[in-house]
Amino acid sequence: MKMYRIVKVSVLFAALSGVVWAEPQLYETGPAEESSYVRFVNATDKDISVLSSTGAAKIALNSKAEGRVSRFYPVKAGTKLSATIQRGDKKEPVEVTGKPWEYITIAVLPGSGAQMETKIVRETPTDFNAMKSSVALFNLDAKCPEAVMQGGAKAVTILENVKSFSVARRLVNPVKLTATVNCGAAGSSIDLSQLQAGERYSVFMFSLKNARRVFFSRDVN
Amino acid sequence: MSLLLAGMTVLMIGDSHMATKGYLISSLHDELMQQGARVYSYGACGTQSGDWMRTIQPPCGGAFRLNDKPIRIRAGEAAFTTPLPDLVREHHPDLIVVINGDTMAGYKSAVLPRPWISREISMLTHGVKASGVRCVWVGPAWGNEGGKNGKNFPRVKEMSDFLAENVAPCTYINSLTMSKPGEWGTLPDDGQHFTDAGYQSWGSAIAKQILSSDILQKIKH
Repeated sequence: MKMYRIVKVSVLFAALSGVVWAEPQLYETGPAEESSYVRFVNATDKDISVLSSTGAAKIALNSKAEGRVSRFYPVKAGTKLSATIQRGDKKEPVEVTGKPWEYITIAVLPGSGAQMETKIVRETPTDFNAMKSSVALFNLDAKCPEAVMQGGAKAVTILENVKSFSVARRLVNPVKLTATVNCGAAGSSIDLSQLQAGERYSVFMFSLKNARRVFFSRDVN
Repeated sequence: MSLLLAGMTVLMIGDSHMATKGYLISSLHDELMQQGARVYSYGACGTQSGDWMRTIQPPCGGAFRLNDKPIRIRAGEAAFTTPLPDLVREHHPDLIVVINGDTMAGYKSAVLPRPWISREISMLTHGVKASGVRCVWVGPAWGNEGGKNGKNFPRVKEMSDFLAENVAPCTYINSLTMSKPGEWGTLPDDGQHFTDAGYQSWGSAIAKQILSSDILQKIKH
């Protein structure tokens, strides 16, 4: 009788084990933590450095088009990021806290005299698409209340009503694109070359010594 | 037997829906074999798309099945993912089938983590593109709301729509068109994993979609 009970219990255990095997264990769906992304743009005429709060990390940005923009650095959403912008012997502290999946661009601009100032432009994009290209216009010019970007042979309006220190973004077909960024009657031309499907691009407009400048970069996470 | 699938080699990779006997590693694998294909299936529970480009230990086990051989279950440290390039070199597939979506949907999060999902997907689609092999990507099915995974219909729809725009060069197979919300039974207190009958229905519907997809017409073999 005792042996019979043991057999029954072991059969029951085996059956229960079978049930456990048929059911996957619990796992989280989604990332381990929510992130936001931060990058820096040098819109001055001098080289700058961005130093982390501990001084352990340093990002060097020059004043040439291809070296003005950093990649996007992932940071934990909701956590305050502190950094110091350095240009020559001048230092400017900056602090920012990102919302989940927010992209933050910290633009460094010339201030009065030898000073610098920073402006923060935020976007939470939803336009990810592997078959299209995403193009954004960042208006970093305080003297341009509304910027417009047109492109293609017919000068089709791609983005419009982009206020100072804000951004607009949209999906376009991955074509070879030459665009014009206009503020009022004044326009600046920019060649983005062949856009790649699934890639994201930012066009920046700013002023240096009363001359309007336009450059672009491919967004890198 | 399908004239289009007969003699073709199919490589299937996926998450928990492919990692337990009775799931798609049983039903869909059987369906494709019955249509005359040689099928090699690999499942790793809780994996995101990018995990199939590296070797990781999945959080809740895995399984594999080599054509007409029995399903082999791997638990704990014995489970690992094999990067897609290695699987392609080993099996020389004519078609890759990816089954992945639920694990990245963040069902318990307030917002869909688009940047993170986009990055995970593009890691794998770059691998697919480099392999030169045609590919279909099977998105999540409705399941049932609630349960320990927090599955809910609005987020499943949002995730499916996101995948449809981001899995190129893979052709997207929309599982939401195969049943009504809640139509296929799920395991108790789960909502995400189906009963054997549910996986039979899902497997049959996916096979039907693959057979009717014009992708098979484009494969030369």
